[in-house]
Amino acid sequence: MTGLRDLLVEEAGDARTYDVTDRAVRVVRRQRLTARLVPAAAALLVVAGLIGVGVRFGGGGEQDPVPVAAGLPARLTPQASPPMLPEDRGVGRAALAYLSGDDENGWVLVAADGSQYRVNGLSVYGISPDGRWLLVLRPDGSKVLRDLTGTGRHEFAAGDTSSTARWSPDSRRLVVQISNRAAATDAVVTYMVDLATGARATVPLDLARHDRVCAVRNSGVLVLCPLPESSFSGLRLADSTTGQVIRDIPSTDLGLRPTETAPADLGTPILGPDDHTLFMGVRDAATPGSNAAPAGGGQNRFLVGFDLETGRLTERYPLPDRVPAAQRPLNGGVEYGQPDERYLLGIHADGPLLLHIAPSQSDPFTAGSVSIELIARDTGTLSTVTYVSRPITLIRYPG
Amino acid sequence: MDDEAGFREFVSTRLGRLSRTAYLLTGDHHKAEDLVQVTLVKVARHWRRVSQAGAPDAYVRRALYHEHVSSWRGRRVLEMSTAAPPERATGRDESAEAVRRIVLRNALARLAPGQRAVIVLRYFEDLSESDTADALGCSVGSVKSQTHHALARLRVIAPELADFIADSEVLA
Repeated sequence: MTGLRDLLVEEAGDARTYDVTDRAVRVVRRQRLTARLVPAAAALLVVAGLIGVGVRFGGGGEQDPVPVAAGLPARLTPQASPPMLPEDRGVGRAALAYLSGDDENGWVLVAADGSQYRVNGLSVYGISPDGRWLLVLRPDGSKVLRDLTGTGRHEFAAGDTSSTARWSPDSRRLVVQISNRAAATDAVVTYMVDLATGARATVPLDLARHDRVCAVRNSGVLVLCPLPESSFSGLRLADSTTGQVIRDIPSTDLGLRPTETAPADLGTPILGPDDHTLFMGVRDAATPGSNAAPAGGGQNRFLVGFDLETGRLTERYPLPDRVPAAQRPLNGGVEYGQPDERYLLGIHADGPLLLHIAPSQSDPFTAGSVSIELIARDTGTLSTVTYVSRPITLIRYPG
Repeated sequence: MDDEAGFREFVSTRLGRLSRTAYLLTGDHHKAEDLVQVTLVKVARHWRRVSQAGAPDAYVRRALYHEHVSSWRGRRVLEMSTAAPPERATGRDESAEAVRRIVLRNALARLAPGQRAVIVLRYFEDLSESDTADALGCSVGSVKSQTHHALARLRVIAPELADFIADSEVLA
């Protein structure tokens, strides 16, 4: 046994037994039933759904030449050996951060003026919607919240094992959820951070087993969503002071189809700058022909927007997939190669942003071109706003 | 499903191994569970053909790794997941072990999906270069170069693991 193997075995010891056999069987049964009995009805449902909320763009996905999106460069190119993000002075608000695929730079912050700085940390957890605050994971496991316009900072102690962070659209609040997997109860603790003062309060939230905080409104109201692997049952709004659920919005009221769910691979839900539209990716598991498409691909993915005031679905955009499943090569009967991927990156003032990872035509292990796309909310058109140069592999957008 | 009982029986004897591999590939319980589920859906969908072909393990392995490599789950989901300290009580220096595992986990997270898959196949699943190539649908030469690059990258981004990786390079 090699040393590396020892380490991997040790790490694998933390795995649980993911017994999802029943779920897999149910999915296949449903797909087959749908394929046999109701293709026409399902197709009508799709059409009706699209008409009901308006088709914003078709399945082609080809775009016009690059339009400008305020705050985003037309091309994002990594700078050779950027300086470290200074600790003793501000650099101005962030436009975004990216992970460089090379071994030298790691995460790099791009300031609003285009300057680039290497981030001293393992990972950039998030950037506040106004670009002022940067949340970074340090190598020792601690997290640092840094004011990019000055030298202010707040620290979160090490020892937390898993966490998520959500900002209010006005950037005044940050909700951090921390779960300690070493604890027998897998308990989740929720903190609300007042970014003006740095004060941190524990939210007495009694989360259902499959819930998580997916957004926080300017008022401090928390939006709870089911965990990605759970069936999507709807949204719940909770008071951040008492932790009590103040509103329950079941998926049937939201206007989703019964077969639609919110998978993790389409990105996490994001609350828009208007403070009431929650965007999230959904997939229709019962789309006719979906059993011929790879999971995560096919014309069965949508970006939807829910109005938290009315509890209704108000926006729906089909996510195009430019490489049909039938054109992907097979290896031993298994679908192969990179699908054409889009996931929710953030919400720009003009509309939702998608990170588009195109498939590589030559190497199944790597992605092809990467770009940032904008869905214009006023017209519904999808257009590329930023071309991303290699070796950038991941982007964090404020919000 | 045509042979649901057979599928369930097959899965029940492989679920532990499948879960551990999925966890190593994703580094996150939720994503690992998602990966296992997507894999099992693929296998269940074609179970009759897969079982009749007589090599279901190879098919499952291919499905799991291809799903991992093609999905980019580990890269694109904007959830945060950091390292967990060991849950098991041992007589060793747990703080050192915890730090080592944090380093390993973060280093694995920074590998390209294909490189991570090669590392897990070669050093956790203990597959030969030929079997690894079969699982990933590429040439043995590609496995060799992927392994070399993955180990080199691990050495750079996790110098704390250099001793462990040095041993592995010899066997690669």
